[in-house]
This record gives sequence, C-alpha cells and structure tokens, in this order.
Amino acid sequence: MPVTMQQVRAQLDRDEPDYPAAARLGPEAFPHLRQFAQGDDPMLASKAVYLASLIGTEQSVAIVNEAAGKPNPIVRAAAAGALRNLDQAPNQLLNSLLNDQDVGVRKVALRSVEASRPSLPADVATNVRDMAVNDPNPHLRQLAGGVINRLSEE
Amino acid sequence: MVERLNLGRVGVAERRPDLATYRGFLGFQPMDIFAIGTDNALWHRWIDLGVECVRMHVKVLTNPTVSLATMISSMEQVYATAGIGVEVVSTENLNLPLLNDVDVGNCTLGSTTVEQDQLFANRNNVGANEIVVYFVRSTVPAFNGCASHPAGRPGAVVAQGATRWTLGHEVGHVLGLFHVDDNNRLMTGNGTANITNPPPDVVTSEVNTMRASNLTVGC
Repeated sequence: MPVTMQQVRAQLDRDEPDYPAAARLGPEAFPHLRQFAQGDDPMLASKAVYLASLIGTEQSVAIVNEAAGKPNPIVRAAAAGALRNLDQAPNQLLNSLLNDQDVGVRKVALRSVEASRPSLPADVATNVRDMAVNDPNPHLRQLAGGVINRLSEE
Repeated sequence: MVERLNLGRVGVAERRPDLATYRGFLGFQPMDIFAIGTDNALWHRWIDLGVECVRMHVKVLTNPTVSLATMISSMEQVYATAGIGVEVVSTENLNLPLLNDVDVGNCTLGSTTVEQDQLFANRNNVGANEIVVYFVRSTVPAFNGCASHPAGRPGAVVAQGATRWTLGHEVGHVLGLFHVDDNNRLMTGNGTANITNPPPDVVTSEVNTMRASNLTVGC
C-alpha cells in the first residue's frame, strides 16, 4: 500500500518523533520527505531530512545533500546530523558541512563523522586537521583535535 | 478541562467553561470557573486546589520563533487548570555556540548524551527542586523539545521551531507525564501543533502526578 503524505506528516508533526518507528514507512515515503525537506518550515524540513537518512538508500543521500545547501542553518545542521546514518555519504558532502560558515553546523558534522566512521578518508582527515588548527572557535578546534587523535586516517 | 460542567441544582454548562485565575502576594490563588448554563445565565464555581508552583529558570541560547512570552503564558494557561502556577524565577542568556544544536540522542527519559550533560551543567546555582529550560536553536536529531535530563538536574530543552505548547508539554514530561493519543490534551504524542481545542487539557490523573512531583512546590 502506498505511503501517503498524511502518514509522513503524522510522524513529523510529533514534538518528539519516534524516528526508528517512522523509518518503517520505507522508501515509499521519499517523495513526501523530499517535499517537506524542501519546504519553508525548518522544523519539518529538519525532521524530514533526519528521517530520510534513517531509511538509508541513495535517495537518502540526495535529500541530505540538498538540505546541506539550504540557506537556513537549522536545516544544514539537520543534514550534518543525518550524516551519522549515512556511512556511504560522499566525502564531498562531509567536507562541505565540515567547512560550513556556521559553527553549529561544523560541530554537528564533526560529531557525525566521528560517530559514523571507524577511520577518516584522507581528504576528510585533512579538513579535520585544518579545523583543529584554524577553526575560529577554540572549543571546536579542541574537538577536532580529539577526533584526529581518536580516528586513524585511511 | 471538562466538556460539560455540572453547575449543581441548576443544570449543566452548554459550552466549554472559561477560567479566571488570580495572582496575589501569596502566589497562585484558587480558580474561578465561569460558564453559560442551560438557562443562558452566567454561572460561577470556585475551586481551591491548594497553592503549588513550578519554579522555572529560563536559559536562552537561541530565542524561539514563537515568543518566550507566548510560550510561558500558554503554559501558565494550561497549568492553571491543574492548580499549578508557573513562576519564572530567572532568565539568562547563554553564549554556548557548540551546544546550540544539541545532540539529544533518542531523547529517552533517564538517558542523556555528553552534550546534554554539558548543557545541563549550566544550572548556575538553581535550586534542586527547580526546573531549568534551555532554549536552543535545534536538537540533533530534530525534536521540538526533549525532556531527558541528567539525574539531579531537572529540565528540558526547547528548540527554536517549537510550538506555543511545547514548553508546557516538555515540563509535563519532567513532572512525570507521558504521551497520550488525544489531541485535546497537552501530552498528546501526535504533536502539540495538532492540538484541536486550545488550551489543551490535563486530566485528573495527570494533575495528581504533577502535584505529587517534588518539582511542584509551595508558591
């Protein structure tokens, strides 16, 4: 039976969505999730992006990739948080969020890289190493340094 | 709170009653409920639920889209029906950019992330029986709010995009309430954006739970 927009909306409307349960809607939810992710409501968009990442297909990556380019940093932070569910996310997407102009987005991206990968691809490692030295936020520099120390480089 | 209010010897209310509360120098006072009866007269009942308050401290990393004043007054409106006042003891701005998009994990009561522990460490001398609400830009993953908190540090986070009822809903969790499948109630698990008959209700069992919490104290 096809997944309706109302079914998807019902999951995203919750103050505290049950994401694992909502992910059982499966790939048929993608057209609706994409629509919410591209909409004007940053809360709904953020929830849609995260849910898409949990469903875990190529379409997930596409939705997260689009969210990473949104002007609203809340949506980009959601994209950065979604990276932890996408171990197949392209390095270009990781690097784009690690280099985001918003410190919160960079922090979330760094946490996601650490949470989702046993080791760092070379170009991502270069980026994190640069963050550990040059990020304008001293606490983020410290966090990045810790990630470099904990994760090996591929 | 009730759909049909028994007005005693006269009959029953034909519409949802209105509620008026008073604040005096002793804090929250008994409730006055007004309703139109079957005889089209205005009827009044006075209920003394005792004097209880939630003492709440507000810590702002990012202001919510729905104003703080609206969120607080909406919470006051609902909690008044339970005979509980809301006392905003302090408001503080926090400059914590790395916790402004705070990782809340699965937002499971009794379980917290490192970032929640860091955020909730900023109580700044708040009393043990007082609640701290941290207003953040977003949570990771995205929730309107999350009430899981470290032991001994009661509180919640509320995200920028939360609804006017999210604050009262999250503090409801902190006071021991759980989700229900009823969009007329504050604790609806279907999203406070979908509350159909504002202000949302708290039922008797929830009132009892809230008032039994050690976080509701004398005003």
